[in-house]
Amino acid sequence: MTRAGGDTRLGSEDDGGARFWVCAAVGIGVAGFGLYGLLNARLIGSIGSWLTYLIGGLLVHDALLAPLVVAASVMMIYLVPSRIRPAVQGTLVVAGSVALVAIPVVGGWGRNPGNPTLLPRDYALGLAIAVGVILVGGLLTAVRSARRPEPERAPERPRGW
Amino acid sequence: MLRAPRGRGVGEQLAAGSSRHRALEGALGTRGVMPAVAPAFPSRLHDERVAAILGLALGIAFSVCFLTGLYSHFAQHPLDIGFLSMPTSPAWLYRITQGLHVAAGTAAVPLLLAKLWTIYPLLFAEPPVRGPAHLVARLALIPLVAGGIFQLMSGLANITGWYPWQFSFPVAHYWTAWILIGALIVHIGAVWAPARRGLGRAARMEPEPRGDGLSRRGFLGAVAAAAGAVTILTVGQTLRPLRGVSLLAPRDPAVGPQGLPVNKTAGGAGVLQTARSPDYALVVDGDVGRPLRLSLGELRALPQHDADLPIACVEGWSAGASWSGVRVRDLLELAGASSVGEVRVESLQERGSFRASRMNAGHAAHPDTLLALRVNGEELDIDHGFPCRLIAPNRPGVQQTKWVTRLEVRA
Repeated sequence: MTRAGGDTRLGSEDDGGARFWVCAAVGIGVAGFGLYGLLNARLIGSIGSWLTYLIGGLLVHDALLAPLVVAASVMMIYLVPSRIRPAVQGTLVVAGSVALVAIPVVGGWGRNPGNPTLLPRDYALGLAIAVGVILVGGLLTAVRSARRPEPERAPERPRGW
Repeated sequence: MLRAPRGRGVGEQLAAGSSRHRALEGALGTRGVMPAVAPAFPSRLHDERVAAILGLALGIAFSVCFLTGLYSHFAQHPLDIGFLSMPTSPAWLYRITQGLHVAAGTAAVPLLLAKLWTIYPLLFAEPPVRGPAHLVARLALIPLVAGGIFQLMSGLANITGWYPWQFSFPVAHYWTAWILIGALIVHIGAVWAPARRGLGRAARMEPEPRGDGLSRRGFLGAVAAAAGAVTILTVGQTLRPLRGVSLLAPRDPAVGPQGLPVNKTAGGAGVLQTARSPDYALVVDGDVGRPLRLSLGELRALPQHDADLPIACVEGWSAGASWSGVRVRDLLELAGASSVGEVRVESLQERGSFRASRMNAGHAAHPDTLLALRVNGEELDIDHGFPCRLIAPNRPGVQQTKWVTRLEVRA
């Protein structure tokens, strides 16, 4: 099959139909139950703070993290030779995820001097070791791809994946 | 020669005069491939099958979190209605469900980010709204994405004891879960057809598109590796054999007084004086024939029993230990409780939401339910609840009340 270069391969959502409207009705009911429960919970504390973190998380992702990743991906096309690019991208996916999950433990904002059993480790060191291991793995993959003889054209992938 | 699953190839159709959009539709069998925005996102990874596989994995992770979370909620706010009462067996059930809850949420972080990246071009779809169903589906994405990010972010902060916000974490996390699952149900209705196509045989048998950089298979492999890496780096807080490699786990199940982690310390609970006071006494009262008042010496003189039970914390860590102490049912019998009903277990702690817990009849009558005086062969450390603490099978750690001073039987 030939492909028109560059077009995304994302299909669109359903445009209605009984299945969609049944799911929509059930889903809106369930979400409405959640919203009602939240607004009426005695011990919720500040609803404004909840909303700030809810929308804040969305904005941090959609307006900051996602554009940064897209920009980094585009830069990588110019900066990283195509033969080792998959290895570099894969390494960044793994190392980036680990670094993100490590933010609360490395930051250690929850640390409590009265309770040394909470956050007992040196997490900056732990993160450095974990990222180091991931980088070594990525490096080995990159070296292996760079040594592989250049195919004349991209190889046909096996059918099925 | 590889052919499109249906229809003619794009090149042939373009040569025959079709528009590019129409030609792609013919080749891919999908409606609404986005010609207007597509060139801005050149990666071949913005792909229906990638989105479908990541969506399925994320849907499973969120469902596991939701169900284990519901279980945890009702374990902490116990129902005592027939079969809905929290079971006493298996004793390790809560340890598994809550370990899974936190592990699935942690592993969902790379899955969610990869999924959002894959479908990011759809955010800029033209036209923005195609009809009422499309409008509902797109609006549902706001609680879906915001709720997903909120649940993972707040959960990850909570397990490290970090509360930068002014809302109650358990209340917000619980109700937001309902909002998120509702939005997920709407979303499943909206993406049913493309997800089925993406997971179907035709999409699977299609060859990898040409292009540089990660292949689709390589991308999914990297995301799976990321999910595996964050799991291995944290799950040792409940899966003891992995504690040596879980460099980012907020707890180490072997670190703490008497080899057990602590959630609420005696200092934090404000019981340093009262727990060590010679006037300490355990009161058993309520719906009983002979209310009791026992000193620590009298408790020690009663028949002692052993139980190997885990402390399984709502924050996702757990640690097994050998406890010994007095059976709760023996105490209730001694006090002449006619029938064992619900028991309220009260701590010396004067303030805080977990200063008392409720225990259903099944737990109160269980032979392994102890007021423990010793752990792993030593007298309890004050941070583990000296003079005595409740330990019962299959209860969340916050319900295993420490520094117990009163058992109140309720009819």
